[in-house]
Amino acid sequence: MAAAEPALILAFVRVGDLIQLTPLAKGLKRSRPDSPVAVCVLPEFVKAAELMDGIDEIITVDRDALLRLSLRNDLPLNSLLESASAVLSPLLSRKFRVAINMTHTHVSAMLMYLIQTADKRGPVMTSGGQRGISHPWMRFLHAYIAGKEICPFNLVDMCAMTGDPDSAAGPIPLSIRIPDDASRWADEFLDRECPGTGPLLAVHMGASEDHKIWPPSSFTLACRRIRERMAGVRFLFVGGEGERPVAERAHAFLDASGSAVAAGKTELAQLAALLERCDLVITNDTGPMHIAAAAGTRVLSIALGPIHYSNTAPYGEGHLVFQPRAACAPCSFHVRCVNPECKKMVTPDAVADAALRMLAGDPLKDGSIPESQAYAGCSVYATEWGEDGLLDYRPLVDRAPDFRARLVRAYRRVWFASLAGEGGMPGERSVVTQSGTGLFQILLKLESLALKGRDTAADIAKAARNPRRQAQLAEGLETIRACAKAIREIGQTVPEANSLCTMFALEEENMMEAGLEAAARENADLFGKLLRRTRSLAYLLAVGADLPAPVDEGRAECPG
Amino acid sequence: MPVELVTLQTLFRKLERLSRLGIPPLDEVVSSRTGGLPVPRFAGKTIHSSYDPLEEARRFVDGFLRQNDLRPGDPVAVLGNGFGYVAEALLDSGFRPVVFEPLPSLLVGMTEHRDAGRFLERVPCFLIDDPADLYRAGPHKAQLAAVKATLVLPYVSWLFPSFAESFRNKCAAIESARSASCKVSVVSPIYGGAVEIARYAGAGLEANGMTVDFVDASPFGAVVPALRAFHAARDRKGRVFDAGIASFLAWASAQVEARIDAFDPAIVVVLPDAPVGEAQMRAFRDKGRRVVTWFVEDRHLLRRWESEAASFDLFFPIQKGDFPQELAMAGQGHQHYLPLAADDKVFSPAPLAGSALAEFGSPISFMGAAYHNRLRFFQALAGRPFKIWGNGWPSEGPLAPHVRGGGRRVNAAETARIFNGTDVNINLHSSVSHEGVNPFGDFVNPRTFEIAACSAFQLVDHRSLLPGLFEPGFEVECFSGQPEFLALLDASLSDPASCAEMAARARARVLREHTYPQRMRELLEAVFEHCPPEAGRRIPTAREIASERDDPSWKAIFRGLDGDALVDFESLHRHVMRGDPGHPLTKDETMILMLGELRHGGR
Repeated sequence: MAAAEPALILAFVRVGDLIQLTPLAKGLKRSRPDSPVAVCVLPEFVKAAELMDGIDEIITVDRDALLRLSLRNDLPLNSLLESASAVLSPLLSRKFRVAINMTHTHVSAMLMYLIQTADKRGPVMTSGGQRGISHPWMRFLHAYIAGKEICPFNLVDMCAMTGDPDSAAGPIPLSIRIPDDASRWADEFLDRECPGTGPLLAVHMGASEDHKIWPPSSFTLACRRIRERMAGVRFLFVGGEGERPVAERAHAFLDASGSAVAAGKTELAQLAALLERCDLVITNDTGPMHIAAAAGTRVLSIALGPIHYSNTAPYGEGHLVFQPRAACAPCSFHVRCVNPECKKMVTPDAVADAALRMLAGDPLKDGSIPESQAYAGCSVYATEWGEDGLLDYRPLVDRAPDFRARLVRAYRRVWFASLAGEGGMPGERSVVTQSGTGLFQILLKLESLALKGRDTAADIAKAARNPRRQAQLAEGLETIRACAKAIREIGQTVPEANSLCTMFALEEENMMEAGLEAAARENADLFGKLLRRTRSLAYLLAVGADLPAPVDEGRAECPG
Repeated sequence: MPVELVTLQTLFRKLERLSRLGIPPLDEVVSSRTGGLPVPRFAGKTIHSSYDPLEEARRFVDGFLRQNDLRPGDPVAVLGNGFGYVAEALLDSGFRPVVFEPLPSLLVGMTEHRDAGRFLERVPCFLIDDPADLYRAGPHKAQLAAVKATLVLPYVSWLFPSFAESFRNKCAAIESARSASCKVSVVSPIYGGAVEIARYAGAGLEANGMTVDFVDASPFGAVVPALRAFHAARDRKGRVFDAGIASFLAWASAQVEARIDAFDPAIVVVLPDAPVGEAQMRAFRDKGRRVVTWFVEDRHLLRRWESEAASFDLFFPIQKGDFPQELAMAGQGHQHYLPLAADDKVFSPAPLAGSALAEFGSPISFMGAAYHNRLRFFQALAGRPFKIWGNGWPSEGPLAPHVRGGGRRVNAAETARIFNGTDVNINLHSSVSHEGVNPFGDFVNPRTFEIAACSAFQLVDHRSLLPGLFEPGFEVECFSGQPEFLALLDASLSDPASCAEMAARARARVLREHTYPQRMRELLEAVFEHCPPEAGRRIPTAREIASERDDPSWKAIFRGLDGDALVDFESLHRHVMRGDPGHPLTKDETMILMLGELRHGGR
């Protein structure tokens, strides 16, 4: 019997992102054990790809070679395209069972268009050169780019769900494969550099971008507090060559026996092996953070700048993440902050305190950390598996949940039910009531637009078959266009409703049906989905806030 | 003498001139043994067969046609006419000869021994004494436009072998330059009048089908006065300023180099004082680019050429005389005289009225900077209805009341208005070492062409190269000193009708021979002769690229493109981006989109 075609993950991404794709790879394997899983990476990230659990094959595409070709003006067009084809042939000469694009760029979408498979997911250029995003979870990921602070799911889950894993089999944690020689090297390194029996804390003070970095002085102070309160604790400063000077200064400042600098001294696999042997890793949101989580080591991370804990917190149970409570956090991807006050809102005392709780085996229950001066500027969340099998977050600082927290919880239920397609959304048949915050007014308006759009589209579907009703079509199409435009505008102006509206817009952009009747039915279905999501969200918010009970609409939903 | 169209009248004028100049006439004219046809002898040689010139011509033409793939009706450039037997044989074979004769005495002799009038009715015929003149604008260019092959008569090869070779090369270069298109970068100086010339040159190259990046270095110009002001108080000898300028120019040159590298042209045209150092020129040439300069400044004033001339592939001076020898001594063996020109879109007749006439109109005007010779020369006009425009003019003294515009630099549009609003435009070439007219002045300034292009009248000081460009006394009025100038000025002011006629002739001459597109055509032809761009750097047509592969996917890329459209990667990328509704993107089209995305910063 011929071997099954492999599943492909197209991932022109960095180390941390690759590690976060291991649940996707393993989920693909879980649903089709006979089909190998290939990942396509840039040459400089092959070492990271080799760590990925669940990957059977690594394909490389030299994007820099393509870039160099693109800048050559001396080659005749034919030769240029032949050379580019040769660079891409490892990818384009193959057939795949499914191809999932985890690289959110135009180039990758174009590449996806050329990849030979009937099942393409993620950003894919259409045959007309337009943007297309296939698979509901990938569309959802894009819908949340502008509102990541109210995104209810971790990025790892959104990616993994794109592979349609068997959810009933339970969560799939991050995992990596550490080669034996790297493990041996790590043992020898620690024996030599970090003698002692006290807890071993890895500290990673760098990050790929400045605005993600908690100040090294804060890291150092936090370490000093930990050392003051826990005898025998050892610190291992990890990172790349560029981070070595900072690590060495912190190491010298602490002057702690049994501590060492590994920054700049490790291959990626050796770093993973070191992190696997630590009791705790304190870090910014970085690749090593995800490697540590994948190696099964508990992580305390600090989400700064554009990072929001809910998107990229270390994936797995029992990690802890700090999030500043700045009104502007997280930064938009489109701004460059010149006054990062958020970095000061996470205090060394709070980080040290939280780290000590983790080392002491504190169960980290809801509200288990009393409100105090040290924690005033930040929130702290512990990670856990939610009832839906996806990563969830438990707030640890003892304070009343705010509206945003309720909104995120409500959205989580709405979206999971809507995207995973497991059962109906709670309250999806209840009309929105005029009560509560301003958001209810917006939801009321959305409900009205969705209803009007749905009913008009359904009418068009019927009229399309009746020659005598052709005159109604133009008017109906205009109504649908107006409704869709109004919905998009609400999304652009009301952040809390953005995901509902953007998802609708993306779904509309990716409509598949041709022919008026079929397209109208698909359109009616999209308006219907928006209607149900809107009603469900309003219902859950009202219930959660003890507002008047929503009323059942009592009529059937639109077919299709 | 430029290429001159031969008519019977010009031949008769030539006859007079030959006898006046003492140019050797024909030795004799003999009769052929067969048919008794006239056969001239010159410098001891018989120009045609003295046995049967008609049979000789037929065989010669048959041999030529066997070696060239021509179709009936195709034009053929013929160097050497003799008494016209070969040209007639070509005509009889169904081809169109275009004749260039280097020996006027042969044509003149033909008028005496054959029916030259009938011959000239059927055959376009030109006199030429320098093959380089083939590149000049003129009626011969239209005749050469479609020439498919070149034929050189044996007597020219015997008498003037290098002339014959040069003629062939130039005809081939004209053909190459016409059918090819390339990317060209034109680098302007950081300040001065040549910035505009560079801009006009860029537009002229575009008009010739080139894809041009005009590298306007003039924004850097602000640094020079700023540096001067910054160092003024403590830098009496100017050394700190000079060092500052040197380091600034090195930096600016690096910026220019980066921009040119990004554009990746086949040809780089550098104007004098552009921020392009020898290192950049070497780097450009190492990358296969042709680097040429149009040296539009006075070589005696701006002497950078002495150290840089060898760095160029080709040097285009606006001066002649011993400059070619000096350039050769400086290591530059390839030069082509390329005078200045006018942009007839900016400088065109436009009568002024109302407030514009009041502001810019005047019986007498001068527009230009206050050079020493002008300051002295114009003293004689103090008190006359005379307006002076331009920078550097004194705010005190006898000329001060005549200065307009606050002594600032006048832009091109204003300059055109001044020329159009003035009865007599004075055009005195600048000099820092004379009191008035420079008796050794050679090159012709842009103002000469621009005033003419406006169909405005001018009194211009005599320049040795002027007669090759305009006919003094017919198209422009010239003076050699102040008394002559004042007399001409008064005469001109009193006879506006004659002035207007002369100005109209000058404009016609500009349009015929002195526009920037014409100059740039000449530049390109010289480049294609001496340093042709690498084949891979020429921009092909859509049809040429489409023919590279013979499959539907490939052909699909070019759907909707004119086959003659010049296509480089950028234009093709734009074409694919625009899309073709109803046709799904092919693999090749997608690759073009992908490479274009990467090229523009995508990941």
